[in-house]
Amino acid sequence: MAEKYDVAIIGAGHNGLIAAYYLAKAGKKVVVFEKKENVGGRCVTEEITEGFRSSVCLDDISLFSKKVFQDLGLKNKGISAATDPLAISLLPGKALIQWRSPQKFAQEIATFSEKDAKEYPKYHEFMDKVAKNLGIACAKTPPDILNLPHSDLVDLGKYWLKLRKMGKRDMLEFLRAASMSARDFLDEWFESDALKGLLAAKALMGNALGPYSPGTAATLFLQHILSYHSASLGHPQGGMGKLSEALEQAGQTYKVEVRKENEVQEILIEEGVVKGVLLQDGTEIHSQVVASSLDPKTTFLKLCSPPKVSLKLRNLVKNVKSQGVSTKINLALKELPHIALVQGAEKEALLSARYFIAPSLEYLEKAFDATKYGRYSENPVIQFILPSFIDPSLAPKNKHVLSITAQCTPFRLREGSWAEHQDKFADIVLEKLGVFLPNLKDIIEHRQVLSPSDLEANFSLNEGHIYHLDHTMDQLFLMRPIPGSAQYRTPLDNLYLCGAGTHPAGMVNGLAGHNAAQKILKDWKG
Amino acid sequence: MSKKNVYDCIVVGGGHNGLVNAAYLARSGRKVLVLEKRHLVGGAAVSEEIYPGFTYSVCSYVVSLLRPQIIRDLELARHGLEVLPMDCSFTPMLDGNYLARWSDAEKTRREIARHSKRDAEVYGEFSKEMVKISKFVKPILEMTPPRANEIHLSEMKDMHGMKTRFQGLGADQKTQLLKIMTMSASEYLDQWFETEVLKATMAVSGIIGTFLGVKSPSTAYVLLHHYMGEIDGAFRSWGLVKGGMGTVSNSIAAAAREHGAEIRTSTPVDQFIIKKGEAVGVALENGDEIYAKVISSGLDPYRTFIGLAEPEHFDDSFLDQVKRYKFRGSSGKVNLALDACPDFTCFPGQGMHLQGDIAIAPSMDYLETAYDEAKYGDFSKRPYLNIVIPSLSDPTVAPPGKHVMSIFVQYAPYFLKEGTWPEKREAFGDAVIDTLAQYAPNIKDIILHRQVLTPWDIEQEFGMTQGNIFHGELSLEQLFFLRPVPGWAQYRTPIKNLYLCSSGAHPGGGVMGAPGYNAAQMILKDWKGK
Amino acid sequence: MGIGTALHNKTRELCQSLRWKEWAGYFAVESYGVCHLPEYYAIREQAGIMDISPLYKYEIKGKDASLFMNYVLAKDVTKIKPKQVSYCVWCDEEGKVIDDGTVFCFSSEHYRVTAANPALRWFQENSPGFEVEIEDVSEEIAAISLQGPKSRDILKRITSAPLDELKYFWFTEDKLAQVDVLISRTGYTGDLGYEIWMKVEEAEKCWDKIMEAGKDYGLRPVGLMALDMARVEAGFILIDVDFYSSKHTMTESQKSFPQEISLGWTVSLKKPHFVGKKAIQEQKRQGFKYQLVGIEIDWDDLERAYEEVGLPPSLPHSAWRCMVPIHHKNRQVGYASSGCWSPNLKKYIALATLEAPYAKIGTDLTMEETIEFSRKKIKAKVVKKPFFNPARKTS
Repeated sequence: MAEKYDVAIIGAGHNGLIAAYYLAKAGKKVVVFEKKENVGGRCVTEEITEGFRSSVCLDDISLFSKKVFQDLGLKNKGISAATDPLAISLLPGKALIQWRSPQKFAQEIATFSEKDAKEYPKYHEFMDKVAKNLGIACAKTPPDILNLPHSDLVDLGKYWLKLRKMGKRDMLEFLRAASMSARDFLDEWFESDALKGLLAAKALMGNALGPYSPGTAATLFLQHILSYHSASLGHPQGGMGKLSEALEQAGQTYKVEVRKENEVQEILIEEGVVKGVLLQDGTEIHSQVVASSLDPKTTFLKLCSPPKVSLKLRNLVKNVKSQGVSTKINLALKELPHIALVQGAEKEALLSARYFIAPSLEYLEKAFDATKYGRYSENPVIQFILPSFIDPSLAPKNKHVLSITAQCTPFRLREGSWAEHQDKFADIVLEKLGVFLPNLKDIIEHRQVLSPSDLEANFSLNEGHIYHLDHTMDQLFLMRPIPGSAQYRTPLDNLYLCGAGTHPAGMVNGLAGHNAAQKILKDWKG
Repeated sequence: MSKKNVYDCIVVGGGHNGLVNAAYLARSGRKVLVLEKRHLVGGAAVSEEIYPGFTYSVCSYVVSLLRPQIIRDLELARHGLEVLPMDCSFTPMLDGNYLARWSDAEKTRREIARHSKRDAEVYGEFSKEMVKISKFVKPILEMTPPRANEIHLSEMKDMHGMKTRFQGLGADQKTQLLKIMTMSASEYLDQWFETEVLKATMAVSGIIGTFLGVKSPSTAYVLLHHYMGEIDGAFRSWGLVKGGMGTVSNSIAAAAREHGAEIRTSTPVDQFIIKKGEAVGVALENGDEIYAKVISSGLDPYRTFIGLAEPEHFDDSFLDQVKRYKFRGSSGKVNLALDACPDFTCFPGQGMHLQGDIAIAPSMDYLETAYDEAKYGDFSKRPYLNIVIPSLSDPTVAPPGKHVMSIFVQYAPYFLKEGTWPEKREAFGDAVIDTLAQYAPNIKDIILHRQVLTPWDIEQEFGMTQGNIFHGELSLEQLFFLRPVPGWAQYRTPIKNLYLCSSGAHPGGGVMGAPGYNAAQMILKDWKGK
Repeated sequence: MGIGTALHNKTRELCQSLRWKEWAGYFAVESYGVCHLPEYYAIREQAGIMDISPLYKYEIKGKDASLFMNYVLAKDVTKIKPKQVSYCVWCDEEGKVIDDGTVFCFSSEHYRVTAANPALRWFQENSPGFEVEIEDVSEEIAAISLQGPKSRDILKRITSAPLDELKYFWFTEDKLAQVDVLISRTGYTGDLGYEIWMKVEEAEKCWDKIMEAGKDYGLRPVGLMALDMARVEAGFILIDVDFYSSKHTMTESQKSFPQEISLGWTVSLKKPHFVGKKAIQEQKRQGFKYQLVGIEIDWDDLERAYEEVGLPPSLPHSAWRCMVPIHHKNRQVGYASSGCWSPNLKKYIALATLEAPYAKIGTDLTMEETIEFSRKKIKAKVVKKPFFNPARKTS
């Protein structure tokens, strides 16, 4: 006799755990299956070499939803408030420091462009206005564009009214900007390459998109909206794994059962209706609902037997853009690296910031160009943080870990494999970093390079995409992951998606898990 | 100056949209005057004998989407318009192979099957799907866009109609429509086909006249345009025009004149005469002033609002938006007079394959590389070329045995990172000929005359800002209710009685005539209220 | 514009009328002689030979071939035995017919499908999850159809295949003119007949051999016009004439469920999931809206209508293919899609798609007929199909 649950969740990533929490809290009997021995999915702290631990996959929770943070009572779990500054862009001989306060940031911008310094607070205000009015859309199930039931028309009407609240000018400005390229949008506001490069790099990270591509301005809005409604968190003490543990603990209050080292082999489907899951060890688990926090491709194409999913759905999912372009490099360092541009009284604060090498939009676009031809960029876009500076427990005394994300490195290389190329690419990244961190090369004790291919293998990310799917126009909001299935509910009865591949976005924010749980509960009543 | 000279409407700019606008206004009984700066009407749709004995369609070179309704209403066939069908779409390749798509479906199927059996099977299904989606999109092209920020009752009706039609589509078509509006041509075609050369030759319609690559999001939408013709009942709306593109303009002009419109060429306008926020007439460069109840501008938005009016008549926000409106011309044109017919290595001889359009677009990578070269401010060294040899179908444009060749070239960005266009013009022309010579080596030996038009030349000669052939990029943020300026997409302008009837208004560029037609309807509608 | 088949040299020599038609991109003879009626009579009285090479052919091989076929086809393929042929349809996910064709079962791991339209992509796209290989052999295999009461006698002279034992819709593999051939007792005429399948290189050899053997039996090459009459008599429907592939329609209303084109018998709703099952089941619950039936047009009434304008009755000599409105009382309830005067039955017959309530045998209807510039309504009646069903077809 198979075991029975109300909801079986596949994958104990943060979204899976958050969905489990809300469902269990509403009285459902919930089980979460996790392939690995630790929870967290992309949000894990693992040892890179003896004595050194790091957030080996994702390392940023600055967009984590305030609502989810409060609902799950994460405040007292050692997850700290964000650092100030938010980001630092390293440029030849100069750094651009993005302070939390737009005014203070404007002062920094002034050293690059007086004009931009004046414009920036206005830009920030406009973006805040959009975020304030449209934030609600991120914490709700998007309308079903294919069927447009009455309730969704009402929602659309509400969004339109929200837009109108911004005033005629700003509303039209937003509607116009939403489909623009990041370059065209930022060019209209600013002249400084450094500023534009930094803003675009933050928004485009993880995506196979260049800032010249139409629709990329939307990623600027998305990033700002999520940030506006975030809990303003910094890198957690104990790394990203700490967050995941906190989420697991929150679930335990409501008896969420997390079964680790229990891989789901197949989703059980009978005549289009999902009945449960089959585990690798042959156990069948029956449940009313199955929710997958894995990406849509893995969910529909790997976990479902092909004849049981309609060709139409399979083709739509197959065509979803999910090519990972990021490579993660984790370094174990003998000592604190010297960042040439960081000096003075504020050094402490500066060292806990997130760093970018993204000097201009042209630089970003050129890095992206290579992707289109299945090559990796010789001039990659790089971001890094020093987690051990924030939390010394991550490394032996006086030693450090450096967490680097670099792109563009397409998963599908035209020539050769990542196993052959990843060290060459890591060398390029370290070379680039060496310009700003002169002693870096001499202090590396160990390096861990995770190419898109490794990210796929280690974190169950289809094609190694750290956000499951690109944040392109056709894969956001009511089209994420595919039109007609953006409501977390899928065409297969009783199967839901609750992962990064669903609305609102792939960056760690927890809203997909939250929204999916609400949708499941709503449908349950019906 | 004489006050007596009062017209109902003055149309500034005798391009095809201006002429269509004038013809419809005249047809409904208005007294109309068209003012054209050049010595001939037509704007970018002109035929000129640049080299003795050879007639070039200097700028635009084929009719694609000229609204059938306009052809019927204005009786353009009676006024001389003859569209010659293009039988083949030929794409040579460097490896000795080629792809030829014919108007004969079976022949095309077999030809595609030579490259991929699977694609041959899909090709027909793809066309059907595109036609279905076009059925939804076409009425949008014909409607006046809503204002978006506030909703008027009559617009509610239009919007509701759109919604009803959308819901009338099958789930598949809805999905396809949503995808095609946002995806890149490359991604969209990848979902259907596997043959590079087939995808490439189809994808180019998504980039013509834009400064985007085939892999840029939002380029898929234009693929639909190719299928719009089919719902008009015409098998293929693509065609050459007998006597060159000037015939289109001349036939519209003839229709306008027959309805009583007056057309003056070599009459450049200096500025609009605006009194108390109302357009009352135009001042000519020669100092004359002509008055009219309505002014309709067939020029692009920049030339209309910045070029012909003083800034004091607009609020800053409007002017700011006009200045931000993107032109960025990205294409050039090379016209050749040839001593003989070009001979393609992969398909020798003067066969039917040359009697259509010839595309140098052998692969998606080729096209994307051309874009990548250009987007940082240089012309493509190996550009996309769209070539027609009108003299093969129309003996009136060249002496017997000799030919004219029209080469549309992309990309040639208006803004160069280094140097100026007058300095680079010939180098650009050389790059085009060198590219073509890779496929048709005899080309260099048979050129009698070469005319190279860079975006800069197009701006100088034809008055199209930044050389954009569509009066502004056809990118999503400049389409529909956003074209040219959000809130001003209804052909009206902030100045009372001044209207915009050019490609800078919805639905945009191409020798389509829709903006001219729509604007005329709006002018007449407003007239009733007077 | 077409190209020639593997037998083009043979058919071209014989085609005196120069009447060609395009069939799947190939030249196909409409009628060899100036009049096609002798060819029709050959099928019904002696024997006719046809080049049917333009058909699309696919080989489905692999461990899961049977499972796969059972998944894409509406019929229960597991019931088809080796050496058996079966007439099948396949539907899209909305349960609408994409195409019909015959399935040859070699073993549970090897099938061959013939189709009117290309189906490679459809089969391939549906194949993930099955261990099968799908190969397009359309251009490798040629086919000759030999139809008519004398067809067996002719074949017996040139092959030792056990034709007397070969039952209707079964096949055997043997030699003919020293060539390996597959002989199936199938056809599109509703008569005794065989289809012979061979490699394209050897098609001419087989053609010659059959022609020679047929001399004494009045064997004639027959074209599509004669075939079209025979198939209407046999009640066989034709794609793009009597129904449309759901892949090639412009509107939803042009698509059909198998049950709506009289092919309900090829659908097995009892077997496990197949493409379109859910939708067909759902529609079955609601009831199918249309049915495809045979109708017979009342000759006396037709004669009367002609007489009214002072003309003798006249009908086209060949089968027609166009949509003709059918009324019940004064309301249109359907349309006829193909029809002909049956020389054999001496009846005017047609295939018609009718709203289900009017499709019962015996229902009185009227069909439009244009007589001397004006449209008349002629009495017609729903009758049993096939119109012509000789015992020799299956005996």
